[in-house]
Amino acid sequence: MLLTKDLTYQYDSSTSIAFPDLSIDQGEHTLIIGPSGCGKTTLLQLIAGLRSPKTGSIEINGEKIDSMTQAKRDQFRGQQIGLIFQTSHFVRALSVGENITLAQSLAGHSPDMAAVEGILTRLNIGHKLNKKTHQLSQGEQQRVAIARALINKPKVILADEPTSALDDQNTEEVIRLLKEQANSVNATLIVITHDNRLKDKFDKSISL
Amino acid sequence: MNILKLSWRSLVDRPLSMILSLVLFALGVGLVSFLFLMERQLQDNFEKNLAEVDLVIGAKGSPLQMILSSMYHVDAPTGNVSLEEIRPFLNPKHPLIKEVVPISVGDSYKAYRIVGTTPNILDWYDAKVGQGRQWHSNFEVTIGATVAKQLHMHVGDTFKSSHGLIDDENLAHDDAESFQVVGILEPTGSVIDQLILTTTQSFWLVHDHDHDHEGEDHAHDGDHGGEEHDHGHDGHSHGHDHDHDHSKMIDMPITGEAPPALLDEPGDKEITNLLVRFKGRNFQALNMQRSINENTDMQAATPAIEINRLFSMMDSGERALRLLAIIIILVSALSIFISLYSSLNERQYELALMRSMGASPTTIFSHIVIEGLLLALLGFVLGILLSHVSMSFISALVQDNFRYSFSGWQFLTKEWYLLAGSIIIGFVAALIPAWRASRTDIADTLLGSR
Repeated sequence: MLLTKDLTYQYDSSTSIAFPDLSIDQGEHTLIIGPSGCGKTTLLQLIAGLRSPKTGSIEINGEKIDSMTQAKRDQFRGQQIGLIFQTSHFVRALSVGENITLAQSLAGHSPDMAAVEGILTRLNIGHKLNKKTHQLSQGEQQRVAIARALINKPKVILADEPTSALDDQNTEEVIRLLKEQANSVNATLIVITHDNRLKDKFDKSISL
Repeated sequence: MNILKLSWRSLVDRPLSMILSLVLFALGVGLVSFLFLMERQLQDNFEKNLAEVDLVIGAKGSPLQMILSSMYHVDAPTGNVSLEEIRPFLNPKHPLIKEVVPISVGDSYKAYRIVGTTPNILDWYDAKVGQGRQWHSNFEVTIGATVAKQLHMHVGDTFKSSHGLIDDENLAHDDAESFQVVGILEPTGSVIDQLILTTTQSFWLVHDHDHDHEGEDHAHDGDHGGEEHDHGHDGHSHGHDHDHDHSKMIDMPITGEAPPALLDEPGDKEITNLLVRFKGRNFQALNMQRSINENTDMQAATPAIEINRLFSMMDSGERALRLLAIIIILVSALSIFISLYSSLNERQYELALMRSMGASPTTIFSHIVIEGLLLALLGFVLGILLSHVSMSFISALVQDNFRYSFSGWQFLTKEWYLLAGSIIIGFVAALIPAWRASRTDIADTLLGSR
């Protein structure tokens, strides 16, 4: 269960933004759609605890993100939230597999190679395990990002424009995999986008 | 995937800047460690060879040169002194002098110095005869362990000496009597390993025999193990002759007579130096040195003082090198700093990413600091290797040229301080980049990726 209430965010002294309240059930898939510059990404970063709201509260599974200490919030994010960005970033020096075990370590879990191989195989990139991430195509990179977001079996998956860099075919594929993997761990999936291709792929969508 | 491994992987992912920092660091550390080693080994060698000699008496000249030639056998002697002049100090009843060792140098065999002296020199240097026996009569020699090893000489071998201290066939004492090896000393680590010891009188006889041609009839037989062999009569003359009867190698019965004490020899004979041990280091002993310098044609010098003077002369050169080493280390610290700092720009996304995956600012800070520490540690290890490997190369060189045994594989306490210093430098160099990295604003950085 993800709840937000009276959320506002102050960019600078003159600009602030207010967000509609959200109430999303556990395991539900939600699309948040809106034009560029409407604050979609800010909303996602607030939910992820990467920014602090000016007012309002964010609750994930009964825990209030906004009142946590920085360290607690970092830890909570590592364990409970899987993040996927528009362009995927990786630790350049590490291989695909190592990037994913890094997510496990940073969340405080011990690396589990079998789980990593399993999820990569389910995403059809099992053979890329030992490749460097920059040797992969955009579509493949986004799949690795999905694998990384899911490896800790988070309660919430937040995807920020996950398909904007992808062609139609890859978009189709990535969204399908995202939903499939979110279902497999019963995670709440929130995708924010300005990509109208995604509109009819989600049952529930919120416009900003 | 722990932080240490992650830091290591990040380093090797940027091999060029890592190598630059490493090379600089290794050079700096290597130079400092090399200076430490050099200083230590020189001091060790000089001190080991002091042999509690309180005073050296010899011909006037540079006192340092006299000490170097008579005790360390590296420089040319200042000249000879006559027995007439030196005789007062040979008297065993001298009130201040406990014991003396006469030194006559000037001849050599294959660049190893032949020293005419008395057997008590062995006690002074704690040398023991390993094979055979000590020299007893004229033209018998007992050789140091290094001489025996380098020239493949055995007890019973004979050779002809050569005039001067360098290996020059033209200066061979062709017509003089051959020396015979009667004993080989055990290795001592001191300069005596490099010497060929015989009686003082042998020196006089060699030079006398240059005038009357006689007395060099020795049995010469077979060549030995690939070494050049020139026999006394065939033009070249300082090849040594091996006797291959192994039973004879150890057993060298005393046949000749020991020469008389120097005190009883005629006054026109000469020796090069007299090494003196005092009964006690007191005011009178000091006065004796001054009185020799002022009232005779000889000079007297105190080894410890001259060696200190030598060290202080070397010290200024060493200071300059040390300064250079410190500058190199500082530059390498700067290079670690720049390398880490500039890497932050290309790594800000991955750092923000790590933060978004749950890494705390402290984790990010350690991640960067560990990179600095790894560079410093690795640089230290390389530097130490560099200095010790070059030291062992140099020691081989030095041994040939200066008769000193240096070792490349001696490790010093000071090097632990160097390790501590390296770690501190690595830490300090990484501090600012690490601090900046730990303050990466995740949200803004990830936004900036658009």
